[in-house]
Amino acid sequence: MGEEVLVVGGGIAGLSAALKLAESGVNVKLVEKSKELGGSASGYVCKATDECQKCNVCVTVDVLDEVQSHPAIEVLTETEVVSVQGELGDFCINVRRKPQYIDPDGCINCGECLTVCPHQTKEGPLFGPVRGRDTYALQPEACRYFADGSCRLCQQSCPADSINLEAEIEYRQILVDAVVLAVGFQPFDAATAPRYRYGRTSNVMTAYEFEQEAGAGRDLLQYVGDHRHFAFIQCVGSRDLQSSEDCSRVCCSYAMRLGRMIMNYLPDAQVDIYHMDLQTFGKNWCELYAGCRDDGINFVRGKPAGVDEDPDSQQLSVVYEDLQLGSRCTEDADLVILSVGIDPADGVGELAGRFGIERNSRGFLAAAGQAADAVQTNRPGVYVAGTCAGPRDIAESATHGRKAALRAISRLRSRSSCRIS
Amino acid sequence: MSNQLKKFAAFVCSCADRHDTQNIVEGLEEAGAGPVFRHRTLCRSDGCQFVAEQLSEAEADGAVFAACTPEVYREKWSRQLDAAGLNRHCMTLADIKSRKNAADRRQVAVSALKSLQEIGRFPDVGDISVSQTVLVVGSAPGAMEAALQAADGGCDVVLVSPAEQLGISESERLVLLGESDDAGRCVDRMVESVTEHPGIEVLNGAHITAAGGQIGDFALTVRTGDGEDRVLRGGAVVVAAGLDIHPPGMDFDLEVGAEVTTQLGFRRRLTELSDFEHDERPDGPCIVFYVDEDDEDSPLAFSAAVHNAVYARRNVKCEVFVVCHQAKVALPGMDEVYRRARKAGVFFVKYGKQRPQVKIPEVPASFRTPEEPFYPLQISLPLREAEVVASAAAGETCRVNDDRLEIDCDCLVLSERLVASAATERLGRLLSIRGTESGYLQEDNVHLDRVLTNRRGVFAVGGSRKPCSLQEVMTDAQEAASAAVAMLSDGYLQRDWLSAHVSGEDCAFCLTCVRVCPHEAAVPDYSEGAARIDPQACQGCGSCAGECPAGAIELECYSKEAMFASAAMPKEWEDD
Repeated sequence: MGEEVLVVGGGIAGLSAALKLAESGVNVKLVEKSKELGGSASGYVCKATDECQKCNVCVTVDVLDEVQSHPAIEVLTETEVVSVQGELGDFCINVRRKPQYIDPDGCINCGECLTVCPHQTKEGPLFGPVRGRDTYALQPEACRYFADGSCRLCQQSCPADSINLEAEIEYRQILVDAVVLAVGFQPFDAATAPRYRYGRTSNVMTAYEFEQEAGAGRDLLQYVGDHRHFAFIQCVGSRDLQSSEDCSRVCCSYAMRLGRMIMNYLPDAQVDIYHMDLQTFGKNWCELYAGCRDDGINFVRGKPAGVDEDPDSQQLSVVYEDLQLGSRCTEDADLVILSVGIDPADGVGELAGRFGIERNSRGFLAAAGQAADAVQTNRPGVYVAGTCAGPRDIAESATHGRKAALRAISRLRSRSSCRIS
Repeated sequence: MSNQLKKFAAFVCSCADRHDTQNIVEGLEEAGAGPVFRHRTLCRSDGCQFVAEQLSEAEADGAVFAACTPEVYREKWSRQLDAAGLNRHCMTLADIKSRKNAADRRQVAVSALKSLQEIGRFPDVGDISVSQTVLVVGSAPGAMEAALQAADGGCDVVLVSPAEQLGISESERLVLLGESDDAGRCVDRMVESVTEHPGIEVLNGAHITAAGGQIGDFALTVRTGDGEDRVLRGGAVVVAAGLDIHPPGMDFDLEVGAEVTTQLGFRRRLTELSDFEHDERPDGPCIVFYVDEDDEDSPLAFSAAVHNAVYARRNVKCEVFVVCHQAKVALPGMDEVYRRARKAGVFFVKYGKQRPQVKIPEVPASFRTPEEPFYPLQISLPLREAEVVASAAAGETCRVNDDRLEIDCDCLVLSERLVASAATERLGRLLSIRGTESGYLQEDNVHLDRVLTNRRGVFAVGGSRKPCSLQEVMTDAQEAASAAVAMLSDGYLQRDWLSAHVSGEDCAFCLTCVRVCPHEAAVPDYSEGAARIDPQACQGCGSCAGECPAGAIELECYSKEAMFASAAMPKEWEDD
């Protein structure tokens, strides 16, 4: 016992890895770049219609709660890896943590600071606790103290003495036996595919943006207003010679579930899904595909050539090749929703450099010649998990995270290592 | 053994003391709480330490926590109960922040205490000891990996292998592993490791004939290869029976023969095809791989076709078409194989709503003259719906005729069907694990541990729960083994005070609970003339309590009285 492992990244893969390690008696340091844990997975909306659609969004919450309360896991938010030395069993990792104006270990969530803050709007400097962060947080850009030093009301009022407006960047040295990298992905930038008019009209958006804006239930109905015609365009930034030639694996079932959710709230809507091949499989496939067709979702084969906008009426239309007629067709759409691909996260190159690990041709953290769901890297003791090693959905990322944890443990306890890679 | 839990401590969080905590403390003391403590920061580490210390000192059986947003800290406080050597589930929470006036705050805390005191009515049978043997069923890599991991984790393992020997056959290798010889060698190494492992007993050619018991003590009756019956006992069961390979569906009224073959028979057939005389087939024979729409739930049908298509192009001069409905490339690594296939000159034809037709052309008079090459089969599909993915121009074998795309071919290769194995279905029935219509165990569940089933202690791995690739099988097996080891490694299971409890006097023995229990926890106890609910197998869902016509079932931590008490309380939304 007494092993310690560093997990970099607090998304679903990192959280699952940290939890598995901690449950197996390993001490864990979990560093996360942003203010909150949860990563991409916690931002999606539950896609349930009358019944659960098995989108797995809800499961992040359970893991999050367990990680936050586990005594063997130390969470460092707003922290990044600066340099790496050492080897398996003896890593020395330097990290940098942004100034912690509100001490996360001291804050008791009483809310006094927010009560006295003179700037109490949505854009104000103080935020209450959210899922993934159980303390208050302070944004220096919006705070008077950081503008002219004139106000320190929150610091003076804090009953737990946990606000320090003079806090500085903290450098720490972390000594661990192994590292799990789970830094996630970033969505393909749809603006680099101008033919879909993304960024030029407000009615073309990525599926994630649509979810964020529209939400579910009554919010969704209010958001869509009179819009009844939805067009999903698949493979924006995936399976495309101009961007990535690879399949992003998650978008087909994602769009199908989102489409079913729309049809559930708006039975008179028309949902078209423009796709090349539907990539979902598993025992869910028949159910999901049949369900979509029963709901009246219209599957159109092919990748649209572009999206047009009528200059006068602002009506959008999708331009595509109709295989039935063998000719160019246009179909109106009120909202165009782009299923953007999964790209390696920003800065993953530098991180790979710091750890001295290889990336594949797509830029993901996966060594050449390794099986597609391998967790090992070319550097012993450094493991990868989740979408930073390639596209996967929420459940697969969690599984991958736990797999990385199990591998790290068995390597550290020098049990029989992997048999099949 | 049947002690009663009586003494419950209470902790009230007094941060910023805006909740008039003195009033709450008095209420709790009046209602009979053991010692009541106040602390300013119960949610922080100093508060948690305080909880653990006071619990040990007060020799309490459980605790009530009255604080703001207590659900957030449930797990933290459970751990303090652990630390104090108590049952982590002997705990209730009261959210005092959500109530607007002092009387309600007092009431919510008191009713939390009352519902904890209800536990005192039920006997404490203490921890339940479990067998540390894991029973693994299956012969394929998933079963072997689960056995190895469980044995390495310190459990005794009995591997019940329905096949005569462990490993996978040559044919399975081809269909399941594609062209990868590495994976095949790994499987051979696994067979060796399993056979040599001192912690694993292997029973080859053994079949399960009956199953009983509950988590911690399952009993499987096995008929071994020698025809002997043996009863195996174990704390957990891992079902890893793999997939069965069935012959392809014959929608075309064709029979497997010279012109029609399967993925398995294909490589042998290819050697015969390569003997075609050059002047008869300047571009070599034409081979068409067909993937049916109905096989799309599994990524393996498309994968096997593409792997074999590349193999054909690399080894023999030939034209190769893959006719499918969707190109399923989402299997990890499949993008690359699909790309390689197109580079190797394989043509992909995707059909639309209508499946292709296969025609057997009449033998023309000019048969066997070099000028008029004759092909034994012709595939035809509506051109309007088809999409052709090609990296080069097709030869003369592929042409458009009257709105239809026609492909002449020498050999049609159909994909085998991969289905849930008969052993899986049988085990599911014996163990009462619900399955899907297609014979796989357990509906896709949204919980992260996908290898769990509706019964605690039974795990479904790989091909037993869905059609999947070897890599997924391995991951599943490791997860199941690690969960089984974690469950059994202490040698006992903690009572969780969530389970349902049948009052023997009120029970009419109608067995409604036995029928409705989704977790197979309710069993008839004929000697008592009443139903009994296994406290470990029960997951506290309350289905039986809701359905029991005699009202004889209660949940330990959520008794009828606790339910009435909480229903009588003003709700937060009524305050505004």
